[in-house]
Amino acid sequence: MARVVVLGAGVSGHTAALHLRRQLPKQHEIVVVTPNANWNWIPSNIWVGVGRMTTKQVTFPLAPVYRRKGITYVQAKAVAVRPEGTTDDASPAVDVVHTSPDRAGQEERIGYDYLINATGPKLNFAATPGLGPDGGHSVSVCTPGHAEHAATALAEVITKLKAGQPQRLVIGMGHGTCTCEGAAFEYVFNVEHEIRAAGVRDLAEIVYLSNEHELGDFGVGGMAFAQQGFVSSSQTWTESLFRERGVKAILRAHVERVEPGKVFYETLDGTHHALAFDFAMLLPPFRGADLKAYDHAGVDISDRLFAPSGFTKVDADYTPRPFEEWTAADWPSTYATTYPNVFAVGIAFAPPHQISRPRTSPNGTVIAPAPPRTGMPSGVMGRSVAFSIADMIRKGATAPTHTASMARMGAACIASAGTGLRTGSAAAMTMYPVVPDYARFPGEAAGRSLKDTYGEMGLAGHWIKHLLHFVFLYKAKARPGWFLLPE
Amino acid sequence: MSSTETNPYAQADERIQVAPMPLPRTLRRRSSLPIQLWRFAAINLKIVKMVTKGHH
Repeated sequence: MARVVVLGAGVSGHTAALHLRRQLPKQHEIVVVTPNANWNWIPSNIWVGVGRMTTKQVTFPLAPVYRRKGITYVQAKAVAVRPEGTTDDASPAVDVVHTSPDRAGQEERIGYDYLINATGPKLNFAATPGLGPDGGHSVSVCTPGHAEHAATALAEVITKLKAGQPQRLVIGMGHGTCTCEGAAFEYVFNVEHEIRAAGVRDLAEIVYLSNEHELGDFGVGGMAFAQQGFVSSSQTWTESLFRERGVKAILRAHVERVEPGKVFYETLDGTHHALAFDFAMLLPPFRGADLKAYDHAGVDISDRLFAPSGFTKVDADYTPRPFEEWTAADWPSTYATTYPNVFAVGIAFAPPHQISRPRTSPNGTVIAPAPPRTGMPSGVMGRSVAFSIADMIRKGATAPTHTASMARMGAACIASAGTGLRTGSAAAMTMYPVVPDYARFPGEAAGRSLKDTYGEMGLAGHWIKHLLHFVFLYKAKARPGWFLLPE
Repeated sequence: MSSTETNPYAQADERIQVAPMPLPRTLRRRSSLPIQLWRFAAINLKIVKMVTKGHH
């Protein structure tokens, strides 16, 4: 009998656990360790943040799903990995601290044969003084709770607008190294849509504040599209939407701090600025989860397993090199760590470098979007690692049998620009590969297949995003045929 | 170095102001039910194609 422990139950970890359970006979145990009681379809948090959905619509309890599927569910937070075991017991194990109401604070050591770290991001609001809803001065849509709070604050702004008071709304990235620009893009246009629908658009100044070097970068270095006989760019395409909807933009910015009603930021040219606001939704940068690693003697080996960012080092090439020397081959494919039975997937794995070109201001401030690795790529990684581990257990494979490099993987992204079955719209984008491969797709293709990289605005995109909401909740609930639905 | 709130949007505005502006017929097309039903099917096909790429 083998035990596979999955840390985290987000898109990547939950996908891995469900596939493992399906692949492995019942004598093998699948354990999911997550501090959360609920699964959350995070892309729909945007709609919670504008009051168009509730927390209940974007979450469901994990325990009944795991009980039904025969997966052991431990509501706890992992705090340490012991890949070599201890002097008393050589079996590898992970230390956890329970978070369920009945066992809160209790510590436990859980042995494993295989471990998948899918802990996702730590929302690092602390990186920017004053950032975030918990003790800070901005709102967030990262969690359903944050999004509901944002919706309340937005409703107050709309009330003031209706009373004739001009309002400035600042939406974007709360640090120079943030990722998830797509989420901020979605939120800014959903907010604009709501304010327009309320009939008070003329009194609202809506500002997108981002660490991107240009609009349409999205942390993936932008995209080239072949449309109507021309090679166009996601930059032009996005700028067109900003012009059409009257949204202003501040780019190349690192938010330094947030004070009540004012955001302070530095731009790439080294100048410092302050902007007053009535409403600010600023996303935090991400860090790896607060995990330590110890060898058999109890010596801290965290730097062997984790990058300084806290993300787990896997089979990527982490050799520091200038942007011009980065290649698609740097990116990991099996997600195995230096310990062959320990893997990291989703946001938890340490990317070898950014995808967008990183830049530094004259003051030494790094303004560089971090690479996104959520959504479809996250799910594909989780599935790939689950299949590899299943082959190792069932067939005795000595190395991972499945790969899922982001440099050989396509992705679809549907970015909502407003909800409503007749009035909604979204930017539907596909790209292949996620990580540009300038050797395979040189020149104007900008590292991606022009045939497969595509963008389109319209109501159909909104329908697709709405459909995906139900499809992925169905899949995550492991309803009949769930495994036929793609990641 | 420091500066104040003098047009903080100037840098991005330069490009946004000259970005392609959709014509009224383009906006109508983006919300036309028959056209969007067709686009719904077409985009879904593109996504399915994308899903099949890179899945090992």
